Amino acid sequence: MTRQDKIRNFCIVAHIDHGKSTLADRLIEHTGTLTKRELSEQVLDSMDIERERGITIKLTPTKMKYVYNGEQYELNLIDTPGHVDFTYEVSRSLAACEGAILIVDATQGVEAQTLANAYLAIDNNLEILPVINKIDLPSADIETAREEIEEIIGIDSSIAPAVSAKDGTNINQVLEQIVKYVPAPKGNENATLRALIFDSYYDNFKGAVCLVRIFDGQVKAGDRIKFYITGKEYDVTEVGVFEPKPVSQNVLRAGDVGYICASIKNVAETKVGDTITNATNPTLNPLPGYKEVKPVVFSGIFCVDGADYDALKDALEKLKLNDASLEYEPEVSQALGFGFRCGFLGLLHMEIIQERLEREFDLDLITTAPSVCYKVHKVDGEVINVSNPADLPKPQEIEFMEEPMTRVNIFTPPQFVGNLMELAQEKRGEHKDLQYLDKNRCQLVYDIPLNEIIYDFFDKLKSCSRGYASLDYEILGYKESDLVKVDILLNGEVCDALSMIVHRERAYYKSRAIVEKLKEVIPRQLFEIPIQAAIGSKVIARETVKALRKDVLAKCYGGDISRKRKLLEKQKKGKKRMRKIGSVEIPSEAFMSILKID
Amino acid sequence: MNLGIYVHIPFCVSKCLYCNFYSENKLEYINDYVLALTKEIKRESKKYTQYSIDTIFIGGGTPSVLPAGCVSLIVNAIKQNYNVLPGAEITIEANPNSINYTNSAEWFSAGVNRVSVGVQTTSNRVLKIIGRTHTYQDFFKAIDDLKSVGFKNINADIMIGLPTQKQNELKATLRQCFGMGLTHISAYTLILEEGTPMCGLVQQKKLKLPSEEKTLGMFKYLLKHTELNGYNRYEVSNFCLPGFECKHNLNCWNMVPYVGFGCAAHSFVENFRFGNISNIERYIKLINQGKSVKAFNEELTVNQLIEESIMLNLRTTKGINLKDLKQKYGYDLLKEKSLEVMELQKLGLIKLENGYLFATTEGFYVLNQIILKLVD
Repeated sequence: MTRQDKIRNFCIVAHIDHGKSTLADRLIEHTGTLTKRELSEQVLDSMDIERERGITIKLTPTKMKYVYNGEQYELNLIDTPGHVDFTYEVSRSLAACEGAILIVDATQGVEAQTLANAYLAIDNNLEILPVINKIDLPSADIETAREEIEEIIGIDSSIAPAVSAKDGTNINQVLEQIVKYVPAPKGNENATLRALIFDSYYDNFKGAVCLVRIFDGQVKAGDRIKFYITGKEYDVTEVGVFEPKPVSQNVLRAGDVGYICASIKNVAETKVGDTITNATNPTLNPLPGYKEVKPVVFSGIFCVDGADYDALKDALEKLKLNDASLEYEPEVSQALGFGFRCGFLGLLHMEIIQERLEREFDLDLITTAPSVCYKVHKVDGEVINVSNPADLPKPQEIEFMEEPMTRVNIFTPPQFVGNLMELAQEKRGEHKDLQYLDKNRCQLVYDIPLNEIIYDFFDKLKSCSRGYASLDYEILGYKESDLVKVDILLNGEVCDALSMIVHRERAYYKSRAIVEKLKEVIPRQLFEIPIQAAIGSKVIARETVKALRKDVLAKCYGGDISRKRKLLEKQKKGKKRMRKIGSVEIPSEAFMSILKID
Repeated sequence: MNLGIYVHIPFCVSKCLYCNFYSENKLEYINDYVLALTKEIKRESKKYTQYSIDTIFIGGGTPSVLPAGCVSLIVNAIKQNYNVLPGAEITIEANPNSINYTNSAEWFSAGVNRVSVGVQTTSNRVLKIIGRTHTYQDFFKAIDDLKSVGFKNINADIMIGLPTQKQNELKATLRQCFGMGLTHISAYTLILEEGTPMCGLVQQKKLKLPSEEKTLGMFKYLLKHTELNGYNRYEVSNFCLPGFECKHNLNCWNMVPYVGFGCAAHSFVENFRFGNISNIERYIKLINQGKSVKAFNEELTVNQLIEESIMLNLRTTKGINLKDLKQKYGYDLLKEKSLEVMELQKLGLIKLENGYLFATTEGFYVLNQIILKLVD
């Protein structure tokens, strides 16, 4: 047996909540890589938010030792993020492996992301090892899960171990099957270096650390390397593997999974999907599949207290160190003051960043409604990208506009098909396909504009299917669309932070909902405040916040002025959270409340 | 320098549904409490030798539940230990059903010269709803008794916006007050305080408050008819015949010092605000042990003093003496808040005249908002 014959590189893919991280934990525990005590529940998910939501975002590879038939094997587990926002990252992680464990929940069967992930793995020529999980639950139905694996995904289910990652049942079978069914890497150790970057993170001492899979050749400290896409060259300072803590090694060779440090200042230089090669003898065949990652969802982030601007700036810089996909640039809003226009890979990514800013950096934020990037074809022939409604040129300068489209795959039990079709229709969806996969499951395919999905599509989907439907989507490209900018006017003044770009047909309905919501959340003030929604100069919806008629402090007994002052101070505090548009005061919450409007 | 004295009597026979002030129905403590009170009055007197007492206010709770002799004891304790000015205003708060000829006579002879009667409304229907135990017949009799022993300066506390209250009920209440020649009327709109039984009842929709429109309508009626009957509005909620302003309260709005005795009583002396604990038993115990009964003591910063001056002065129709504010605290309100002042003037909510900034009739409805604009 050669060295590479005893290496298995694999990942675990699953629908959200099907137990990916738990299974990873058990594998790590059963191979003795970490003891149960060291394994504080889910080692792979290190960030609080991820742990709370039970989803993984950052990928952390782990090298495990496993003895099978008297031979010691090296199993490299590459964890993958479980959310559609990170599909490209998932695909690169898959590309670093020869095999994938596909978890199917024995209580739920195959779901949208199970299938989407299985296809991704198949596209990357991975050997798929299905594993049926959660057999400890009373509602587990192993046989149906096997049937679904065969019928829906079309792979042999006889090799699938039925396990409980939670209590550790049959975990050894999984390890055995990995050795048996996942192919060994077949790189050429003597060829020129080709290493795939599938992730990177920032270390205060080492700089950006590249997580790599070596396909050909070898790399060691002191080597001069070149990044194929960026063209930049570096001197390697350290190579190593993860056990799961980084442990430095003399050399990484073809088939290995590990890390490379090369005094790289910024994670932005380490592009996921890029190929690392020798600087002196660079490869002419980079590893396939590289894509530039572009944000698809945009939102303005501002501080409730304008004085926190610098803190917000620092916080974003810190997050950016570890998250090359986060983009931001300064933005000035009349209503909200100084802040940043941020670009995200998707809604979850946006939520995670916002939550981390609030939680880890203790910032009180106002975020504007998420937007997508529109292509605006101007009359003069110029085409510009607009992701901030405030940047949209005047209507007379616009020839036409295009918006990003997505292909949405929905998996659902048949009884909800009607509801879901209605929902997709409502969201301007174009019906593409409907298939009855088996008696319990349908697949619905729609093309839906991205800007209809980024608000609350997921929540709606869940609520109109009693939680049963699951969703996966991919960006298709751009399509011409009749879009308009709706401005919200408060007491006659445009509030820039509330402007939005919507489809003309939806403009009236949406405007109505927003002005009604604003009427609820804007407190009555000393004068009447008209709230108007307008396209250009045409008002399409209007509500009025009536003037405040009565607000007097109560009688004060026994000269208890302190109590009055406390009331006053409380009110003053409330006022500090207000934003002023002209003479109208708007609570910060108002900006957030309209995000919930469908 | 003048100083007001406030004495708190934290006893009520029953608690009104809207009240969230400190009072108890543990009437068995009354005697011990009054004794403790006189001790506190005496022992604190050393601190106030340089002050002249121009007002005394015995409030509650329900001071009129005190047994015979108590009020004399309290007033005498003050007179013996403090420099009470001749003609000082001495007020007692009373409930209509605990006023009788005997206690009225006692109060009068003790030197009390002003009685504030908590009638709230003369509609027996509404009185029952809000948990008051008296009737309007009690009110008439009380006023009769007070007058017959010699009281001339009598106030009625009335409320507007009570559950199910109608304008004609307010009309009747006012007509009766005017008819009896009361010198003073305090009119408060009901404010639902969280945690009160009434607040709970309204939230559970078991009680219905008049709409804001109706309450405002009633208040407007009150404004019109007090004026027609010769009463001046000198404070946001207080109306009186010429010369019958309540000095004690006016002093409070004008940041004149006052010291409070008794459970839960508050004081404001030399830029300090302090207050006593709100527990009758502990109060009695601590006083008898010669220990402090203070619950808190805070020195106001200049900013807080400025804010309080604005907040309290604005309650009076006279308003804020701008020159005074500048001299006392170096604060030029017109300069610091020029935009806000202009905005409020434009809205007709405040006026500037003869060096005073004051709320207009329209402004008084939204006084809180005006204060908020002017204090940052």
